[in-house]
Amino acid sequence: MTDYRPVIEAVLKGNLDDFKIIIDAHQALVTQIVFRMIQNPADREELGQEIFVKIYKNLSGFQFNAKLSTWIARIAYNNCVNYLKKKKAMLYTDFKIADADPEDDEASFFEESISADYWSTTESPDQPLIRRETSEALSRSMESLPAVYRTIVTLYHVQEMSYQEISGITNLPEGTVKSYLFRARRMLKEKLLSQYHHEDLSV
Amino acid sequence: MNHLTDREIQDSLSADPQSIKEPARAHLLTCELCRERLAWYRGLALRLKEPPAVQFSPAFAENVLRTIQTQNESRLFWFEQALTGGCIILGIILASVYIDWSFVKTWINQAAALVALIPSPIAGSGYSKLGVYLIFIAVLLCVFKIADRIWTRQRVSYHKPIY
Repeated sequence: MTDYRPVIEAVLKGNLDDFKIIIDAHQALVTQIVFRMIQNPADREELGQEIFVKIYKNLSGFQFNAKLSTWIARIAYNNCVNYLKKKKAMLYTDFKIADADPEDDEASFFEESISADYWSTTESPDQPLIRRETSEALSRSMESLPAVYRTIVTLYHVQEMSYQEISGITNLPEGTVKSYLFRARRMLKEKLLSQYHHEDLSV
Repeated sequence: MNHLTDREIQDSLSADPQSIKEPARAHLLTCELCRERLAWYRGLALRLKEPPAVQFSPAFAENVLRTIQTQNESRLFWFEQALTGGCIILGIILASVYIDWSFVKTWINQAAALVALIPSPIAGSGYSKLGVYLIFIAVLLCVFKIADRIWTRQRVSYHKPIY
């Protein structure tokens, strides 16, 4: 874990240039949160700037007992939630699956005729093309998830954060984070497979 | 044979094969369908690990720093203004204690006499003309101040991305 204490102290003493180190190190994290939560491209850049300005203003309040990345992610997440609340956007809206009986999925599974080959792990000349197609399908499916689900999936899978860290960022209980992650992956599966079968039938 | 539920399959995702709970582990050893389902989710998890190809504009960091710099300057500007104003008021209060202000009255009389000589559309004595001119100057200063405030606000507003 990188020790940002000297950098933070330098920034607090008024050395603004050192803040660029913090921006550069956390820009990808903030970008992913903002892009996952905010679907309007016109607002993303401004919101991203607003987040880093807020981080700068509140830097003196950062307690060194937490990871800087978690603290920054929390500010980014809260800013995005406030933005979405203003826009009255879909935050947690669940689909039918939210209330589905977990035991039901066994029956539906047989209709899905699922195959790990979907991800084109086997070597073939068409692999790059198939891989691109599945990536695009996955990206489309991700966009259709509620904002919080998209963010939790990104924090868990891309940023490799623990349930505890995600819970600290989103202010949701760990059990809820786990449950949302489960639902999100399940929804992705349903969307991807329905597209897959639809394309299969149309060929 | 009861197949694993979707939750059980997903629970087996993050765990290393040795730590999968026993009933699920035993089932996976014998059930090819559930192994396929687990493999599918593993494929999904692997693909989800790939960071999305998204980024802010190349000048993002510079724009953030510029915004902060401008806000700091703006804060400093208003701090200086407040400090100057405070000094002037304090100076007047202190001066009023020690200075004999009768000379000011003489100045006002002289100014009024001079203003009375200026041909102007304003009717009235030199004193009332002087008062009107002073109000006019005050209004001009207010307009200037408001314009300056609007300009300062525009300066601190977020920089638009440069693509």
